[in-house]
Amino acid sequence: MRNLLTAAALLIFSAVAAAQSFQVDAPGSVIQGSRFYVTYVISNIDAQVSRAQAPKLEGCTLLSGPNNSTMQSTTIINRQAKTEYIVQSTFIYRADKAGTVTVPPLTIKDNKRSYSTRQVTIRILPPDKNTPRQNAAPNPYAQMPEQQVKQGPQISDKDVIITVTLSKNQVYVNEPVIATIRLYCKHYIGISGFRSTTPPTFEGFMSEPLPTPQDQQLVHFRGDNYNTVTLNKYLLFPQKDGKLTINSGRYDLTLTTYDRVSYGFYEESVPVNKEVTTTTNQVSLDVKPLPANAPAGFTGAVGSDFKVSNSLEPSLLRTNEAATYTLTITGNGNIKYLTTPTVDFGPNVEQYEPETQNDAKFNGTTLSGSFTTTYTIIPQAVGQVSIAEAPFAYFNPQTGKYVTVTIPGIERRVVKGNDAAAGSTAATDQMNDIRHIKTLSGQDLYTKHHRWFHDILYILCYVIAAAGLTGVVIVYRRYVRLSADVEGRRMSRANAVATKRLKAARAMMNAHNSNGFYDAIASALWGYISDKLRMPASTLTRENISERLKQRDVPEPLIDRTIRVLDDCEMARFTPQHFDAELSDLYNGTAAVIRDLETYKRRSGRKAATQTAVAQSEQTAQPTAVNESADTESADTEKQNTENQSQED
Amino acid sequence: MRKTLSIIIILLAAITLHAGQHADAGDKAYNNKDYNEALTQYRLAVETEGVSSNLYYNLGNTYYRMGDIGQAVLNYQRALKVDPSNDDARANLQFVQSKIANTPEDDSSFLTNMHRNIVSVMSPDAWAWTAFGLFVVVLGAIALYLFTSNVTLRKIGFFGGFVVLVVFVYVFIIAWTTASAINDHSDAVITAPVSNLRSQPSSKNDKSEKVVPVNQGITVQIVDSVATPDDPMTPMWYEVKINNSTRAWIAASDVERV
Repeated sequence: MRNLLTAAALLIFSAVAAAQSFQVDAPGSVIQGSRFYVTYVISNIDAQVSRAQAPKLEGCTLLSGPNNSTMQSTTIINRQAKTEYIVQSTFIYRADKAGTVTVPPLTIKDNKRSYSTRQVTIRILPPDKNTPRQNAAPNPYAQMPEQQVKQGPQISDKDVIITVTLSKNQVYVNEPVIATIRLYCKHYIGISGFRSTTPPTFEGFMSEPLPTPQDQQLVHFRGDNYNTVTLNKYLLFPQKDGKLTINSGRYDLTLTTYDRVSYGFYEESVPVNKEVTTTTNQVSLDVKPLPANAPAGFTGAVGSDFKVSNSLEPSLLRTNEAATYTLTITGNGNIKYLTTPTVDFGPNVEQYEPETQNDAKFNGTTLSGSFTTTYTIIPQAVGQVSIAEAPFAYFNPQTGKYVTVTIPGIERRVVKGNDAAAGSTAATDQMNDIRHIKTLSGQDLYTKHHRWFHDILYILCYVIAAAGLTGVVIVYRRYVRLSADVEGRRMSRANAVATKRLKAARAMMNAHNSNGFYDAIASALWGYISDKLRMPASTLTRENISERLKQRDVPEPLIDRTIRVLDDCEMARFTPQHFDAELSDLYNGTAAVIRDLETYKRRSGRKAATQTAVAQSEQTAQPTAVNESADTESADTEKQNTENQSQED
Repeated sequence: MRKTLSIIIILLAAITLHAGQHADAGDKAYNNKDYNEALTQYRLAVETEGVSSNLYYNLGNTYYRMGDIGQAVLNYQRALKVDPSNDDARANLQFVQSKIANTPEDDSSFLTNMHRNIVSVMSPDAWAWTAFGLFVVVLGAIALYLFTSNVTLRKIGFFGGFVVLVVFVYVFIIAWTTASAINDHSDAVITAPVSNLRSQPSSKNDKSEKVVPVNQGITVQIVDSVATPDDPMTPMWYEVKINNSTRAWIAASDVERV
């Protein structure tokens, strides 16, 4: 039936064969007089350890065994059943004699094959010398009737020791040394609290914490048996020579022992705690300086088997495209604390801050691994990038000598990169400095800054320009108006023209040219009247002249005089006899008439006065001259005058 | 007229001096990279021989070479104040300012920057004469409008004249401001290596008070000043505008006016 079920189970779940093993478990060390267990663990093997197979241990007494405990578990993962079947067979021994015993290999067989354990060694430590101890297992049944307390052992400060040990006493600078901090505690005392108040300091060292081994064990130390464990482990690289001391650290611990309280039928363990402070021992180390004759290329590497390799990627460099130069140093020693080597790439290479990568592991005595420096470079010019061969030196403390290895040189061609424009900007970016000074020699220096803007001359320029335009505008305006008003112009210039003609007539008279004289004097008088009365000379008659003059309120006698002179003139022109006296009389009469007409106008009324003033100013002012001050005034008068004229007409 | 002109020319000659021995010696020392000597000579030149935009520029370079960023900025600013069209001074000022950590953000508007760029095209005198030239053009346009009978020409005269008038007003303002800048001492540069901006004119540390350290070489604008005779450490305080939006107080001894 059961087989059937198993078969069914097998049909449903495909069973997986579990790992088969046969192992022995025994303590590394025991104290003489105490009991210990040797346990065989049989996993998934259809076999058993019998009492007859119990190993015979010299100096030990087999107390009982085998005590079997069986454990079976089935796990189903993803429809796969896995069944573990573990049997633990324990033998109990008592250590009777100090020394070392060997548990020989034990072999068991199932129906297929045989399995063997490894051989283990058990150290049997002598009993504690200093502590009187209840060695034998207490017999609780002896004190059954009454309740009583059995005190545990007294705890003293000496029960806990923390030591610092160095792997070497004398090293070179940068030669590694291992410092181990180890806790020793009497084997019957438990530790329920631990605090490193001030851990030991490693001044003058580069310290590298190492993984702490799980190595709790029982040891015979300074005559007593202690449980011991490694607290910390450091790899120290001394940085200076001389005697370096590791200062002691301080630790606070809570130690626990158990008092046994018997209540008759049962017994209870009552913990008793005690606070203990312990300090580590001071250790010192002699550090020798490195020999003085350090070769070129030595940057502080101490160790052995240093090797250097380098590479430059890509194989063909292009301008303005990044390339990577990698320098890898491998070896054993202070590989983690190397200084980044400087590499000279030549002038036409832009170099960025190198990046370092450290891959070092503890190999038991020192650090071992690689120190990689990556330099990113950008070639700036077509040509060649060459990294010269260079030495790399390190000191080997084992031999006490310097060793030099060679960093191989690399030469690469640089061709023009794709982005030419980027090249030019890169070149301009590189010129990141201030511009050079200007040469002051021959230049002017000022104690007071002259600004044309604040100069009076500058303001004057504006005034002149503005005034110039205004003047031009005014002159142009008058020119336009006068050229439109020809009669007005003629009238205003009548006196001037008449005076000119009279002058000409006088010249004729003096030259006794009577014909010319009469012509001139007639045209002077006729012209004057024609201009003044604004009538063309061809339409002038004696009648309309007197009529017009009358209209202008010229007094009768003056009109008569004017007409008479006109008649005289006409007469003289067309009668043949001429006398100098007549000529001069006629001239004087004409001049007087013109003067009187002019003078009369000046005197008579406001209207006439302005007209005369115009005439006067016209006479004095040259028409082409630009006389600004006079212009404005005369312009006003002119305007008025024109208005008056138009009213009159 | 001619007399006035000659008097002015004589006056100009009187205040114009050729670069003397100190300025020359400063150039020589600078070229020999003896910046201490160059500094001494240039400063003597400033005191005894007069100044110019280029002398301030050289002085700024010397200070930069000696590592005094604050004084370098101050002297470049002075060089630009005397001649806003000094390209080299502007370039070096920008370069040195880029080296200052925590430079306040320039929050001036696009138009302000454009105006600044336009101003830096010419020297103040060139601006003055450009303004006058434009004035003459405006007058010419008016004359064109008044004196021609051709309608197209008159239109050109009228509208062209109007446009040129607007430009003239702008250029005239530039000429005015650049010429007057020499008398404007409101700008200052922080020259003290360590200086603090405070929210109040007091060196006593108050918890409510905000104190912000500033680097040397930052240009500020002084808007107000307060004397504090009771404070023996800093008897004088300036209220400064760091940019358009930030105002703070600073000890007067920490800044130097441009």
